[in-house]
Formats: sequence, C-alpha cells, structure tokens
Amino acid sequence: MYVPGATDIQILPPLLINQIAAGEVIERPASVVKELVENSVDAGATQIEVTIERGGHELIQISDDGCGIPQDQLLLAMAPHATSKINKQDDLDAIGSLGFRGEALASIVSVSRTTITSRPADQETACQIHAEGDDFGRPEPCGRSPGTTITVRNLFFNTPARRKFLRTVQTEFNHISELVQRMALSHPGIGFKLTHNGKVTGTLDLPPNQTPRQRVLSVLGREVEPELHEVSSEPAGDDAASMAHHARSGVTLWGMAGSPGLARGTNRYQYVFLNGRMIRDKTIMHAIKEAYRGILDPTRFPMVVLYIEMDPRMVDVNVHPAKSEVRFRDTQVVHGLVLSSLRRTLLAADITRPVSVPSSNWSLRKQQDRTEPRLDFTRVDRTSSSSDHRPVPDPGDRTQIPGGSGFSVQQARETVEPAPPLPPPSAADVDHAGADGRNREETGAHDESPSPTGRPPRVLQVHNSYLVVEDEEGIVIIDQHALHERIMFEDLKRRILSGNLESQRLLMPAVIDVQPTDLDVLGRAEPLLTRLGIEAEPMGRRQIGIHAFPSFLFERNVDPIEFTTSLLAMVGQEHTDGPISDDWYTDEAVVHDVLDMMACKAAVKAGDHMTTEEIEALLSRRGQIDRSGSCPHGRPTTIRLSLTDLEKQFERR
Amino acid sequence: MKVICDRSALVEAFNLVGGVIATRTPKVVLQCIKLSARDGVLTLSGTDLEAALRFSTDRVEIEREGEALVPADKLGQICRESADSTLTIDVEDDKAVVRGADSRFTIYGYAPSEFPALVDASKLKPTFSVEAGQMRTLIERTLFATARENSRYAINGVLVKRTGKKIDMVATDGRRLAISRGTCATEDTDGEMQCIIPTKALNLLLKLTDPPDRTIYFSTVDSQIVFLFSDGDEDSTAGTMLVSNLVEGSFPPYEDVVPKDLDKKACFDVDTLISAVRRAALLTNEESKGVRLSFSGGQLTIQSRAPELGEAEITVPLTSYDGDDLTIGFNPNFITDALKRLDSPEMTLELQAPSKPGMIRSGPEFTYVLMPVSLA
Ligand SMILES: Nc1ncnc2c1ncn2[C@@H]1O[C@H](COP(=O)(O)OP(=O)(O)OP(=O)(O)O)[C@@H](O)[C@H]1O
Ligand SMILES: [Mg+2]
Repeated sequence: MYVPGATDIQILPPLLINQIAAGEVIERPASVVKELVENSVDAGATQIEVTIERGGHELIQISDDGCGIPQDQLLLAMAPHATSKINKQDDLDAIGSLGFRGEALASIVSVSRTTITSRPADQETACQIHAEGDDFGRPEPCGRSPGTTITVRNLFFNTPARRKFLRTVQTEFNHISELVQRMALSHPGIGFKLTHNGKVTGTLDLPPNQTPRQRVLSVLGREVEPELHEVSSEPAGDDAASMAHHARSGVTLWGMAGSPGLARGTNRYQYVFLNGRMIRDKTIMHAIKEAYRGILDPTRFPMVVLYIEMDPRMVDVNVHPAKSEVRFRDTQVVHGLVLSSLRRTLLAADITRPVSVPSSNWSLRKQQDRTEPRLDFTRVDRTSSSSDHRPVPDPGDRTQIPGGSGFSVQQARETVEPAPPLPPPSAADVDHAGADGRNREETGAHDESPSPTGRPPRVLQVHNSYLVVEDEEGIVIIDQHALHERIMFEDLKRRILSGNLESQRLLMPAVIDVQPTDLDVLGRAEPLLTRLGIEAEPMGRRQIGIHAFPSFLFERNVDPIEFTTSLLAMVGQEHTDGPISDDWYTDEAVVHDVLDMMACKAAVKAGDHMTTEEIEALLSRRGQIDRSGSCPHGRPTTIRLSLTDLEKQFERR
Repeated sequence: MKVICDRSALVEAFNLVGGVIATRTPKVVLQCIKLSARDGVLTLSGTDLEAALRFSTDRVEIEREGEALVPADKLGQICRESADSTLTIDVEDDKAVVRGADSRFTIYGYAPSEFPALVDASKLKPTFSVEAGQMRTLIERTLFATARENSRYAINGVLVKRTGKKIDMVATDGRRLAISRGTCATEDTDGEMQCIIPTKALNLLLKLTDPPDRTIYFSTVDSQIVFLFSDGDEDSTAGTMLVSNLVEGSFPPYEDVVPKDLDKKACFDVDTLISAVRRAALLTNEESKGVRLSFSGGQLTIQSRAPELGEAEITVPLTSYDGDDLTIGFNPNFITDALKRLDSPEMTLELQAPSKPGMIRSGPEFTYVLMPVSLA
C-alpha cells in the first residue's frame, strides 16, 4: 500500500511503463485484436485471418499478407514509441494510417507471451521472435510466405489485476467478433476470416475485393437488404450547387441507412467510418438522429453505415489513445453533409414497415378466442366485376381471419359482393353501411386509383382506429391518427414556409395564468407565434391574453388556452435546457416539435369514427406526402402484411 | 304492471326519451327506461344524470297499475320493429313480457327503485312560460354558436336571461356571439333570472317544441332547470317533463363585446348573400378557411383562395352601403350559420376595420357579432 512520504521518487522500470501504457489501450482480448488488425491494415494486407482460442484468454493470432517487418526491425517494432508511420511533427497533422503512436506492440508484448513471425516480400525467409514481458528472445529464421503473423498467448499472465477482469469466453469472443465485423466493414477490399476454437464463424469469412455495398450486406445479413437504402453525398440528380459545395469542403460520404423497422435500442448498429477508421462522434450521431427525426421514435437508434472520406488535415485523430474520438476542423460541414445526405435518401425511400407476426398469435389452430370484435364495416364500393390479374394460390379456398370479422383476404381479392359483416349487424349498422354504399356509387370517385385487382380498393375501419386496405403487395394497415398527424404535419410545414397561418380573432382574449419567466419565453417565441397565427400579449406580470388563434386549430376543436400553454412550456424548455446549445439546429428542432404538437392535437384520434369521405380524403393524401410511412414522432403509420406473410401464416407454404 | 298501449305512442316515447339515455355507461340502470302506469297515464322516463326526460301518454289502457325498469334499447327496438297497432306490456318480478299479435318477448329488467328519483313536478312553481314556437326560434338562433365542447376557454351552453317579460338567449364560442330576443308570459313582471343551459338539453327541448302553440313552463330548483309542457287545458304536472343540470360558471360579459362604434353599414338581401358566401366557400380548405369581403364602389366582392386548389371571386349587389371602402376576412360558415336562421329577407352588416368585429342584425330580435380572420 502507498504510504505518503515513505518512498523516494524514482524512474519506473521500462516493463512497468509499458504495462501502464497497455492499461490505456489493451483492456481485453478484443483490444489486442483491434491493434493487431489495424497494423495489418496499415501493412497493406489484402487478407487478414484472426484465430482465437477460448475467447482470446488462450490465444489470439493475426496473420496477414502485408508488407511484413524486415528481420532487423523486429525488435524495434516491439519497442515503445517505435513506429514506421510518422516521423515528424507535421505528419501528426495529416495522419493517413490507423496507427501512429508506436505503442501497441510494445503494450501487448508487456502483458502477454507474444511471437512475431514476419517476412517482407523481398526477404528470402521469414524470421521469428518471441517475447514475454520484458524478456525478448533472439530472432530465428523460419519458413513463411510474405506477410506477418503475430501470436499472443496468455494475455495478462503477468498482470493478475487485469486478468481478473476478463469475462467469460463467450463474452470476450462476442467483443472480438463485433470488433472484427467493424474492421471488416471499414475495409471492404480486405478479406477477413475469423476462427474460434477451430471453427470459422459464418458471417466472418469474407472474400477480398468486395464493394462497400457487398460488404455491408455480407456483414449485416442479406435479409436486411430491402430495408437498407443507399446514402450518398453526390445526389443522383445534377444538384450542381451541393456538388460544388462538397467538392470545396473536400468531404464525401457513402453509406446505407436502415428503415425505421431495423432500429434498435442501442447505437451499436451505427457504424461510422472516417477515412477507414471506426469512430464515435457526437456531431455525427446528432445528425443521424436529426435525419430520422419524425420517422423514428427518438429513443431508438437507426441502423446506419456511413463511410466518410476527407482530407486527413481536416480532422485530428490524436485525441484519445483508442483513436475512436476525433476532432473535426469544421463540425458544421460534417453535420450538414450527413444530415442532408440521409434526409434525401429517407425522403425517397418507401419506409412502410413490413409487419412481423409471431406465428403463434396468428395461428388459426391456437385461436380459441370466441369473442366477436366490434367491427365498423365501412364499405367503399360494391360495383365492378373485372377479374383478378394476379395469380392467387388456390383461389377456391376462403380463409377467414380468426374472430369472425367477416373480412377475408380472399374476399378482398376476388369477390364482387361484400360479405355481410359479422357479428349480425344491428339495424343501425345496416343503415350505415347501406347509406355509405349508395353514396359511394353516386359520387363514383376512385376512378383514378384502381386497386391491384383492377377494382376500386375497399376500406375497412377497424375499432374506429385503424384502416385496412389492399395494395399490390398484400394488406396495408394504417393507424388513422398517425397518418393524419403526418399529413397535417407536412401540410403545416409547407404552409409555414410560405407565410403565416390563417388566424381567427377572438371576441375576448383567452387568458392564461403564467409565471413572470413565461413572459420572457413569450417574447422570444413571438416570431414563431406570429407564423403560427397566434397573437398573444402579456396582461400584467402573471397573465397572457390570446387575441387570435389559428383557424384550423379551432376547426379541429383545439383549445387555445391549453395549446398555447403547452407551446410556451415547450419553447421555454428547448431554450433553457435543450441538450445542444448551438443555435443553428436547435431552432429547427423547436419548430419541428411545435408543428408536431399542432398536428397531433388536430389529427383524428384513435376511436373517432370517420365517414367514408373522410377516409377517402385521408388515403388519397397518403401517396402525396413525404415520409407518410411514419408519424412525426417516428412511429409507423402503416404496416404491411404481404401476400407472402399471409401465405406463411396460413401455412400454405 | 300490465298495460295495453298504442304502439305509435311507444315509438314516439322511445324516440324522445332515447335521446337522453346514455348508451355507453357502465351503470346498467342508466341504460334503462322506467315505465309507470297510474291514473290512466303511462309515463316513460330516462336519464343520464345530466338530463332527464319524462314522457306521458294516455293512449294506453291500464289493466294493472305499477312500475318497471327495462333496458331501453331492446324494448325500443321491439316497439319499432313490430307491426302491431297495440302491444301488451306485462311486468312481474322485474321481468317484462311484451306481447303482439304473433309475438312474445321476455326481457329481464331491474327493480324500479334503482332508478334515480326525478324532481317532483307537483312541488314546482314555474315563474314564467314561453310559447313553443317562440322557444324554437330562440334556440335555433343561438344553439349553433355554442362551443362544441366544454373547455377552459369556452362554454358548451346557452345563457338564458329573463328580465320581466323579456327573455334573451345568448351563445358564444369565443369567436362569435349570437343574441336572440323574445318575450315570455309571467306574473312576476319585475323578476329576473339568469342561467346557462347545456346544449344537450336544448337539443332535447327543441324536439319538444311541437306543436308550436304549446306552452313551456320554466322553473329552476337547486342547480337544475325544469321544463313542463301543456297543450291546451292539460294538467302540466302530470305530463311531459324535461330536467337538466345547469352549466356551472359564469357567462362572459357579453354586453362588452357588442360593438357600438361601427361606422360602415351594408344592407343585403339575405338569400343573395348566403348564395354568394356559399359559392366563395367552395374554394377554401381546412387551413385556409377565410373569405375576403371587399366593399368598394358600392359593391361587394367576395374572394377566396386555397393554396394548391384554386381561387373564387363573386360580386354581390348591395342594397345600400354607408362608409369608406374596407376589406375584411371572415370564416364563411360564421356568416351562413347566422343567415340561414333569419326569416326576414333583409339584414345589415356593420363593420369598422379589418381586425375589428363585424355585426349582423335583422330586426330588433337578432344581433350577431363575429370576429374576422387575418388572411394570408
Ligand atoms: N502486421 C504488420 N505488418 C507490417 N508491419 C507491422 C505490422 N505490425 C506492426 N508493424 C510495424 O511495427 C510498428 C509498430 O507497431 P505498433 O502497432 O506498435 O505501432 P503503430 O502501429 O505505428 O502505432 P500505434 O501504437 O498507434 O498502433 C509499426 O509502425 C509497423 O512498422
Ligand atoms: Mg499499430
């Protein structure tokens, strides 16, 4: 134990120095793998093999076909502060390699039993050297094709405190596997192979020379392909202005962005590579979050892979020993590029969420529930008899959805007459459906939007909350509130860009009781309020009077007092303790939140009955609206049950 | 209890009383209708605890007096669907048997004592009465201007204010205000009364204004208002009765918002203006509701514009116009809502400035103040 004043100051022995340094970068087997793979990448390898025994507790071996280490430099490579990658201060300003500190090998050697075997291409034979702590063996010649193999055994054998912190074989291996995946993603051109206890892991046997797209799909899995959308800083069109801008800034970006359905609760599936280096950067994370604002619940993390390339002089990677933190010279350029590229892609993508139905819930055999759901059967049309163009497997067989709703998929696709709603309709229901049916025939709308079956689509409002319609892939289920909210949100956003909202004056001011601090907020929010069509003025120090309020909110039965109160609270909060202080995107966030609140309060609620005309109006807007696949909070508005899903659920295949 | 009742009387009763009965309530007795047969009259009552309606009919033959409490929707459906001219209702042990020529229904009911007690009409002393036809006009010219729901901001009811023989009804949703004036019959010529009646009760009362020459008696007890009805010489206490809770809270000081300094005055033919405003409203949408009224050179131009939809322009001849040129925006529904309910062919619209209220008047009985919209 350290007793103050009991010992003199002394220079530490070299081994101890290295072990302390190792503490910074070598935390666990995965850190060893990271450092060694980075060295192989820096050596220009085209194929890297990682062999692990017992989660790396036992053995970590990395082999590459890179440039190799000349015989006479082997000892030096293991020395601290020895590197071939930089040699003068200027180099630090423009680091083009992953390594540059000259620390990694020295650190690893100091806490393990390490063997290096290496042969540069122009050297006759390979040479091997063994080291254990501070005990270095003599280089011995041996046979090997050009390249380097580094074998690390008994990690932390001489630092028991560290060894204690090693987790189970599986946990440590998971870390390694994740690390190798990231390294593989970062360098699509290099082949990777990961073996654990003699077995090759499935996703990590990757051929060299893959394109970034191929590599992303090989690592993340082919099944996500339909849900990944390409992102690029060079827009497909000739957006000359933005091209020129990025050319000037010297930053380019390519990547893949996942649909909201792929999002997770952690940010582990956000891969950001800067000049081939995996980084974690707050600015970029924020830009990603902004881009998904409104299509994804903000507490979830979208799956995103981004490759950013920029002049190394524009970024400082010498911030943290693990080198995953960087400092950009111009944060805004990077933020703006990531945000705009992602937004462009997400706007263009069809992000309707495919449904995932756990089969047990849907299995007919298990469905014992006899209760009859209340269905509001709003029939849109009974006419038309054109035949189905698409092959339907076994069309004779009608399969009812359990619960006796009377709505069957086969019917939706093939029948002309609607089935009578079950349970037995009350007199009022019959009148209702009848009247709607007649109305529809009279107005004869829908001519321009035939369904995939060539007939006008039929709509079902379920529990006054969801709309069910047919589309070319199967069934689409729409959350009426979420969709309406999204539509209103987009309308409002567009309307607000072109001027103030129409505002209805009040007979007498509606009065809100407030705290004196709210008056400051009122002052700051004034331009925004004017835009929204709200005229509000302080009345003394404790009250605010609302003199005018947007017509459309009145129309949608929104109370001016409640609304304005929430609005001031929202603006006040964003301004005082918003997470980010840079004003240039905070304001956009406030506007988004406020419009979102407007849309939410004004939209039809779940449980509201909608007339056929209202349903039609809503659905006809669906296709015209950007990002109609999710509500402004990012929850989906629409889920799709494809014919394939249905066939699976009904065990047709 | 056993009665043989005229089926059309039962249907009428269910149509009226059914308007009060709560359909979505966890309390089953509130989904029931109470029948009581006594002194040659069958009375049917229903309530949702906010309002209660009692309807009486003598188109009945009472074989055994008594009471019953039966689910209203089922009994109502039986009465409506049946083709018989009379139905026999026989109740024993809370079980009602309804018999027609070819049918027999047994409905399980509840103990009549579970039904909440209504005001005892015989103890009421009505202070004034209004003729049903006049009541209908008073209601129709105000009810439309009430707020759709009670909120912190607006009241979902109509103010009734009696001063001697004068009765005013006033409604507002915060953006417009309708005042309809009439007269009542009373002994108490110096008396005053003021209360806010919920819109639901007024909708029910509207259904009870037929025939137009019947008399409606007003009484207030506790925080309730009671309407009794008499057709000719009938005894008012035994007949139909509507009871409603009053809206709590005070009505905004409406006299203050009736403008007094309006210096521009236009006279219109009501139908011409309705037609013009309706047509202009065709090219408005939810977010761009307003129409623009421009008074200039002795004529009115009404314009509308909905982004992404189109524009409309309609010229309206003016009977007369006094004052400077002016352009002002209004929600077209606010104009037509009021005009639809006028019965004289002429009306005036008085204005002052684009951000100040406008006022529509038609004779001394109707005043309507409406606030403008700011047009984008
Ligand atoms: N697989 C390899 N192939 C060829 N040369 C290698 C390999 N591994 C290490 N070297 C050489 O050994 C040197 C020391 O490696 P080390 O990882 O310790 O330092 P570094 O990579 O330069 O910097 P850092 O500490 O930042 O990783 C390298 O600079 C490189 O010249
Ligand atoms: Mg290195």
